[in-house]
Amino acid sequence: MRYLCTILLYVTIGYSFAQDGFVAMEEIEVFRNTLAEQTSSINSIQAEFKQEKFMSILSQQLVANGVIQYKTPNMVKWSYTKPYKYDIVLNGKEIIINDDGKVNSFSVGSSKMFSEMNQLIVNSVQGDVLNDNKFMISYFENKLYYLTILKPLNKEQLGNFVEEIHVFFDKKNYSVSKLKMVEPEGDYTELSFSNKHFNQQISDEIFTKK
Amino acid sequence: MKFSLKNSYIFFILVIAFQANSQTTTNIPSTYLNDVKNNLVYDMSMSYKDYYGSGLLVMKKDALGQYHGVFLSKVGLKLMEFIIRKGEFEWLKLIEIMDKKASRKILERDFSMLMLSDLDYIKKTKSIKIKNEVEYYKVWSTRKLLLEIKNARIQKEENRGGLNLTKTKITFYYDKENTPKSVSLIHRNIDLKLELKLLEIQ
Repeated sequence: MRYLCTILLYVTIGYSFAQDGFVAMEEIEVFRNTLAEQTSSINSIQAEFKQEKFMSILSQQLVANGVIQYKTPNMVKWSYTKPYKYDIVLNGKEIIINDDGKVNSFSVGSSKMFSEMNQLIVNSVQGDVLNDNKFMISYFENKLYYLTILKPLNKEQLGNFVEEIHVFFDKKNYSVSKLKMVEPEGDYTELSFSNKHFNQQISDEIFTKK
Repeated sequence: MKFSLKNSYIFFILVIAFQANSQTTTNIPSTYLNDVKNNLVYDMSMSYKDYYGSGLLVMKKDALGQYHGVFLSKVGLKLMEFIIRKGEFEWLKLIEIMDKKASRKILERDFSMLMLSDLDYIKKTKSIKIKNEVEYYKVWSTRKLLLEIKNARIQKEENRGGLNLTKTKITFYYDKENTPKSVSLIHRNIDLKLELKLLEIQ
């Protein structure tokens, strides 16, 4: 029975990939090298994002919109603008949350889970996530995207929250177009990035409490 | 004693009066989740001493006595998920930091009371008083409750009975609809406060 379920699971996954035209990537090393080359020249990213939460309890997905700003080496600010105002800043040392005017901050090291999440987000935005040895990585591609599927090897930390992370890279410029975080129970969060601007001037001040 | 018509009448009046005071079926409204087609989403903030945090609380009633709730962070991480079946609370997910017996007990009571799930299985009620159009009821259900009702809507709810050191007190605020626009939850002896605001989603 278990064997049959496993086969069915693979058939289902295979079918859904086939629907989007995803096939196993042939030139993995070429992809990795080109990605590293392309992202090495990026020192800042500014983009709009759309966050969609899919859960079995919901009749339709929960949607939130905002702006993400990234600056090397490891500073990220997510600013949610709709339907709630919520900023989360990861600056390598602390996580700063501005919740509609109420500001909280705590050290990244104080929470292992947040620390892992911080690293994952920064590496994903930077396109550097493939060098992270905390994941088992599978590679796919279709006409528009390179898709990497990351499975956390350590179930203790990130694995409690995320079963798989799907990172979609735009074939035109190797930038991250979409992130899908699948939870152990099957619910998932999808982040789509648009209106991307690279290497624009971003002040360090936006990544502080000020 | 002769069983005269007058005595029968007095007996009848006494029975009616007793029933009015202590009823098994009453005008106690059911949960607001009955009026919801799919689910409700609230922006929920939590303050505990100097700490402040917020997330989204999704609530749904699947059938009589069956409720489903999820609390997730605004960045999309699911932190808590539970099901209530016939008053029995079952955790599907609970973050490690909250997974302690005392915390679980308070959370289970708070979420059950927020959803008004206890009102599906009312055993007995007792009208206490009516003041300024507000009706006060004692309710015996999965737990003992004190309710304040106005315009057929639960305005306030608190748990009663036993050694009740961390009593939960909830106030529901409405506008025209029967769904609370906002909800405030406080505890006795714990500096923990929850504030819920109905999220307008597309």
